[in-house]
Amino acid sequence: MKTSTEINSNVKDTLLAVKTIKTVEVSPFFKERVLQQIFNIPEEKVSTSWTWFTPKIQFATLACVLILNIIALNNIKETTYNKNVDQFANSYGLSKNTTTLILK
Amino acid sequence: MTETEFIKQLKLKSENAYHKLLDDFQQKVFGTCISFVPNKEDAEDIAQEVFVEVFNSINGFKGNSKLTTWIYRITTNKCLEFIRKKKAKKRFAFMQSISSNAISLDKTNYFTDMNHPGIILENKELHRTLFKAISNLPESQCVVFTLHKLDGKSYQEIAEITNKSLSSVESVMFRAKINLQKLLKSYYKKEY
Repeated sequence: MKTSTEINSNVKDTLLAVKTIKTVEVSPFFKERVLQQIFNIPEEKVSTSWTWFTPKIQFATLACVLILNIIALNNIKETTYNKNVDQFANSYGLSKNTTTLILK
Repeated sequence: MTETEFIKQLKLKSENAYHKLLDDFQQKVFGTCISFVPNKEDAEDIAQEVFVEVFNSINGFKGNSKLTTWIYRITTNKCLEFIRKKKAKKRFAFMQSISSNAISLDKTNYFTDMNHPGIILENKELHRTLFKAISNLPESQCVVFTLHKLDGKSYQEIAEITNKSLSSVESVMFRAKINLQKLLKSYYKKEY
């Protein structure tokens, strides 16, 4: 077991060790490596054409599209398809009801 | 060339300006990096990241501080980011080793392998202990102590880099020294 004096001395030595650290030189090719990296980075092209399309507008657009889809879906459900086909058939004499048989 | 003109050239991405920037700052930035991260390869990687960040962010530099201060601020942040990531990685690896009952190969709790060419072999153990103790300090104390004691920056420079007042830096440094002594005392008590 170490005495407190010895521990204090160890602490002091450790703290003083800071002064014995020598300067380390950077690698000789560091500069070239950095320059090569920074001048080979493809520049990020910031598209200015869509800058007006902010998140708020994006959200509003999405909401509009959803609402239009819901309306369209409801309209399709109330289908008028058969009615239109009947009208068409009647006007061109294709309807079963209006078929006149030549041979009776 | 004045600093304003130099900054203008940097903003214009002039290759000559970056040559000059690297000539002036590569050793300083690397010196700060190796003070925080005592591993030559890691320190060089961080220093490289610093210059890339300067290149990418120079247009956002408003000139509120000196260019030197701004670069040192980036350097300090990059070093802290690196240390945080490495510490998190270590913690994750430790948790994994517990859950899988595997014995971790790297039993040290320090965030990097010590590889500091400026430390002579006979002092290596002392420095290892010191760096471990510094890494256990609260972040603000670790920054102030490292910049002052290891990187040799003045309190005024540290105050500018950390955006703190001079008295605040002095008080953080005082607490850092006390905490470091406590950490080292408890370490040497446990050792014997």
